[in-house]
Amino acid sequence: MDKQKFTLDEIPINGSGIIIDMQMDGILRKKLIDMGLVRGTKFKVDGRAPLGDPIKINLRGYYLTIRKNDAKKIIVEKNG
Amino acid sequence: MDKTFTVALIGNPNSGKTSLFNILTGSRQHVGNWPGVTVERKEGIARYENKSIRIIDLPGIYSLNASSDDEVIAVNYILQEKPDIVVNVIDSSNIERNLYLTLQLLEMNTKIIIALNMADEAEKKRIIIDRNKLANLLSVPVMATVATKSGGIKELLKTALDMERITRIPLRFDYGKTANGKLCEIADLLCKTTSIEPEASFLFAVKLLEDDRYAKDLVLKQRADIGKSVEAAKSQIKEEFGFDPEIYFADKRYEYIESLIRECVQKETASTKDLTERIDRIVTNKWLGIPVFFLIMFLLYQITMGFGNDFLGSYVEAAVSLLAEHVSGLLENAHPLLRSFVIDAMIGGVGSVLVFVPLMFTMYFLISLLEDSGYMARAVYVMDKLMNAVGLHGKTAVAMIVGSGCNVAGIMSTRTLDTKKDRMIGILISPFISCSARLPVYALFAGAFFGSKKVGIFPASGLVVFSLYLLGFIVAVAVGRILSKTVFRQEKSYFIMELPPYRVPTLRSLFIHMWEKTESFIRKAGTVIFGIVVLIWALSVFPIGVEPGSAGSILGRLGSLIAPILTPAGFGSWEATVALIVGIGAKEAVVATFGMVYGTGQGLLTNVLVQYFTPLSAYAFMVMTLLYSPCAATVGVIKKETDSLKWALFSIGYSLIIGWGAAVIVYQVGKVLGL
Ligand SMILES: Nc1nc2c(ncn2[C@@H]2O[C@H](COP(=O)(O)OP(=O)(O)OP(=O)(O)O)[C@@H](O)[C@H]2O)c(=O)[nH]1
Ligand SMILES: [Mg+2]
Repeated sequence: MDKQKFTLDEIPINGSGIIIDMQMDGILRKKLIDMGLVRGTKFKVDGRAPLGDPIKINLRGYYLTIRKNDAKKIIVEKNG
Repeated sequence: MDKTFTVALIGNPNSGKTSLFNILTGSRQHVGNWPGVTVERKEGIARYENKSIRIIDLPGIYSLNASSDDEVIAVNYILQEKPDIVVNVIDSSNIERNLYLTLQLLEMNTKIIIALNMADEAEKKRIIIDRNKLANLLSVPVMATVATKSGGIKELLKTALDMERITRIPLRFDYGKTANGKLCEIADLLCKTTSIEPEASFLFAVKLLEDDRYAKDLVLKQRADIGKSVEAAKSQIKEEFGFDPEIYFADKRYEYIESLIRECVQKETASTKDLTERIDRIVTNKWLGIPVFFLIMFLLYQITMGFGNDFLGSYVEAAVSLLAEHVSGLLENAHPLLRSFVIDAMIGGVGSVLVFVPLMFTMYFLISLLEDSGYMARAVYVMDKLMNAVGLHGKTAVAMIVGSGCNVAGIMSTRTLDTKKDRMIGILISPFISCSARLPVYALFAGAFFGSKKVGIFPASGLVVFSLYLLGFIVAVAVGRILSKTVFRQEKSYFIMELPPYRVPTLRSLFIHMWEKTESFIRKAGTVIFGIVVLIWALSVFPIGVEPGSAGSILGRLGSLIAPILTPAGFGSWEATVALIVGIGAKEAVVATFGMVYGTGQGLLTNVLVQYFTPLSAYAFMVMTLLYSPCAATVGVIKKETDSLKWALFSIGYSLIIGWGAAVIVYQVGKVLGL
């Protein structure tokens, strides 16, 4: 399996991967950590809102929605 | 027991805390299937074997780091008020993320019971949790509950009472050797030099390294020099592991949670697409998502007007006219003042408001359906981009849906917004959303002027009302845009939200909502509206000698004084003026005033209105009613939530200008067009 680094917003719908790094700080990072996004977390991109933003991802057994702009700051590794 | 034994419910948003609270205390607090329903602290009393237990319901939190105002309420409560027992309510079907908060609670110096709620859903999803093992590993009792069906409630209360005399040692979570060493050092320092209790010192050390605002405020105020040790520890951890303590600690906690899950939770991976996914494929579909949102709002108003008002309402209306006839027969020989009071004020004024009870409960029934099914969170998700494009946060959509019931509730819901900017804008634009108290005014006018017409299968009155909702929405968005470009320009915002699974609304909660709101509408009619009506009535029969309710009465003279300002909008009569002024107190009073000054009771009111308004001036009047000044209750809540009288006055001032301007434009443009 070939693994490459992307930002979260670049993963297509139904694509999956693992969180590598969060390039942000402050409240947003705290919030994301509290909701289960840490290094090594597996996720799957489940869909996008009608206008392409926010993005809906599935992680730790639930659905989380996040804006594209914020997703750009999350570095991930893509599966497959 | 000296003070009442207190149990606080703490857990992630939407985990079922309020449902549990309602069952425990027999209360009827608002429940809904979206994160952020509860934004205030609520108290109630539970009884178990003739002992009383005080139960506290709080807003949901994902961790002990609070950012939005509702979260601050919950976090401050547990950190400062020290309940005897914390019941950590966990959504069993989503246990992994829920346990993150649990670990933080376990680090605290409080007795804890874990309630694995939604046990029924976990079972359905074939998630099997070994409660005994979890209880052993975490050293706290673990119970299973089903809050919607009262499952496990007795056992929960019993366990809570049994724990009264035991003590619990806070969890010393193992963050690794280096980190633990540093944490102990700082904890020691805290014990020796500050007022923090020894049991809480380790937790405070953790919080300080995580840059927690609350801990920093508390500690550094006492001993600024501790800040230096904290910074040193932080950089040492960063050097050794390559990450801030904040990230490093979170990693460690999730690592541990994953190991707990491996040991205690069995999950059969279901391959079939579940209901939630299937519904979402339509409701959040690329092409359908936004049309579906507006279709739902459209149907909300069509059904409210068509079924609630025109169909159900007609029965109540008939009953009120019958009553009016009967009573007026009885009072034929009574003193004219008494007659006027009963017929004009009681039946004409209060009665004309009560006619709208069926409209109210239809509307609230439908809003409850949206809240309980899980659509609310989807509305936010679907609308965020559109809203964001004009400078609003997606969660403002909640304020717009909840606010179409009552603006006060809409404003309260903005507590979940994280940034001050989004919150302030949400509060200030909420009053433009057409609330259910304005519906009687629309129903009355639309019924009188567009009544019997139909457009396709839809009653024209419903379309008129929906056009007003849209107008309110557009004005709200436009004002929001202006505010975000001017007053609140610099501030940034972000958006993170959980989408809960769809749930079948329970009849119990639908009826609770409907009844609560309808009851409060009736109560308001009997108190506030009645009071206003009596006052207005008194002003309309004095000075003695004038014909009751005529232009010569005090009321008529007052109205005539201001009426000229409203003439360009097409409704410069003293009656309309008085109705609008009174409406600032409560919007329902607009209808009550007309009912009274036109002295007829509901049945004939529509006929009388036709003499005073044209369809165009009627529409302009509805626009005015929609936009001009928030009602007194809304102004009060704006003041409370913004903590500023200035903003409350501002909201009255600018909406008066906008309302008047819009009504004048509608009327003048309509006249030019020959309407
Ligand atoms: N199936 C099932 N549904 C439940 C259970 N408990 C609560 N619910 C549903 O879950 C949703 C959320 O319930 P609430 O009681 O409002 O949750 P909350 O924790 O108070 O939520 P916030 O106030 O937003 O933090 C509602 O739709 C409830 O009907 C349960 O044990 N089983
Ligand atoms: Mg709640």
